[in-house]
Amino acid sequence: MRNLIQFFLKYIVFILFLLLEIESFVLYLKHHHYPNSVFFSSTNVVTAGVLNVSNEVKQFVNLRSANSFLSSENARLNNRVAALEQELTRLSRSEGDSTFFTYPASSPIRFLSARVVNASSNRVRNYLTLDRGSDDGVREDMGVVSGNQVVGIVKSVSRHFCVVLPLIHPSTGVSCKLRSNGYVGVLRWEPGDDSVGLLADVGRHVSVTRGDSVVTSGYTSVFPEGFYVGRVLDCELPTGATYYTIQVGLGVNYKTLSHVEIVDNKYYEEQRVLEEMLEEE
Amino acid sequence: MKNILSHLFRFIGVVLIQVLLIDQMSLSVYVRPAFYIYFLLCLPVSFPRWIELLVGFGVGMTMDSFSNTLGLHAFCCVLLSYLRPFLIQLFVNEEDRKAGMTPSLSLFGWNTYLKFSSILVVVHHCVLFCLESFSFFGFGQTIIRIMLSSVVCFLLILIFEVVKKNNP
Repeated sequence: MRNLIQFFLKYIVFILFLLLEIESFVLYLKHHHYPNSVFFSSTNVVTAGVLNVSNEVKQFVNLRSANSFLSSENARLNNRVAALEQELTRLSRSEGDSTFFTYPASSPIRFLSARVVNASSNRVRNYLTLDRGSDDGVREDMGVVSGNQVVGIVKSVSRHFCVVLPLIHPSTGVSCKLRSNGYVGVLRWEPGDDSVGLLADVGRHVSVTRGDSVVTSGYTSVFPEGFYVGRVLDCELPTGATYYTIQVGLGVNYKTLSHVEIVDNKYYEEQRVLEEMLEEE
Repeated sequence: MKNILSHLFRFIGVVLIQVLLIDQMSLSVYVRPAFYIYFLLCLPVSFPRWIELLVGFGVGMTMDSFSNTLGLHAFCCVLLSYLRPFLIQLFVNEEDRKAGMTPSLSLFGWNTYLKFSSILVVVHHCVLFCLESFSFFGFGQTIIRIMLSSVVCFLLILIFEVVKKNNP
């Protein structure tokens, strides 16, 4: 017994070293794909608070470009309002019988504005932290956009903050389509360049043109249809492959991102449950 | 007590420099110095080894919380804290290892301090970036990342040490 205790005392440092290494390695493996612990992540109050301070300084520096972005966004929305009003008056005039046309007063999609508290773009696994949490109605798997551009998907939520997997994270996959012909593929990203994504699963029979826009397909209820993802930079067809590898220049610039909107789809849960029911059978 | 407080302040300072300055600059995909290990390098020579390991783990977890990589920095920091006493034993003789001494340029001299810090910096960055990429795919990229980040981190530490030496 004494020998055993002596043995432990002699090697206590080494044993502690092994225990700590195993502990951290297991933690790393468990959280490898994305963080799901709220305490040890940037959604924690202390870390998010510190990052908030730095973000405020950065925002002040970036005010100019943020301003111009917001004003162009404003103009775009004004145009849209005008067009929709026109449409509304046209429809309400032509239809005397209102039973055929009801204007969708309650659209299932709602936007929630949020501020980027922390962002990384030069790592292998990048993340964004936003200043909205479950208290504001944010839940997992909501889409995040900036203007009309896709940013990422919410992955973990605390009370006041949430962590977003941006397009530039290896685990993110967004269903997209080519605007010109409507063929659908999945947008992925490989570590390296933070402005280039890869569009997979587009078959070899499709004609892909450089410069074509890539937009969200709307097949999943995370993003509504037609949000801008990027532009086709280059496409190649490896010999013998059935699918193109298409390089997509991403529209959103993660280095200067400061204001985003979270997409809340009222029917998300309904669609998900319905689709999962089929998979279980 | 005073000692613990000064360590605590140094810890907060180093974390803030890392999180608010270095990480926010996002210089390049290849340049991501882990400057915060300067805190671990500066722990006193006579620190009990098991406390040093726990401190390393704590520092790593703090950095992990900021960068959403639970366990990654902790793994590297515990390894660093385990290796550091061996290097001190190797480079510094018994008489110089007096109580309360901290490894520094003025204590070690240029030759020893360069060896001491460069080895630890390179080991730390090697493990950090290999574990982060977690595959041999794009290994060339990882190698470039290790080299550039280590050099920048090493230079930052030297700058701090030279300033400290000139203003004791």
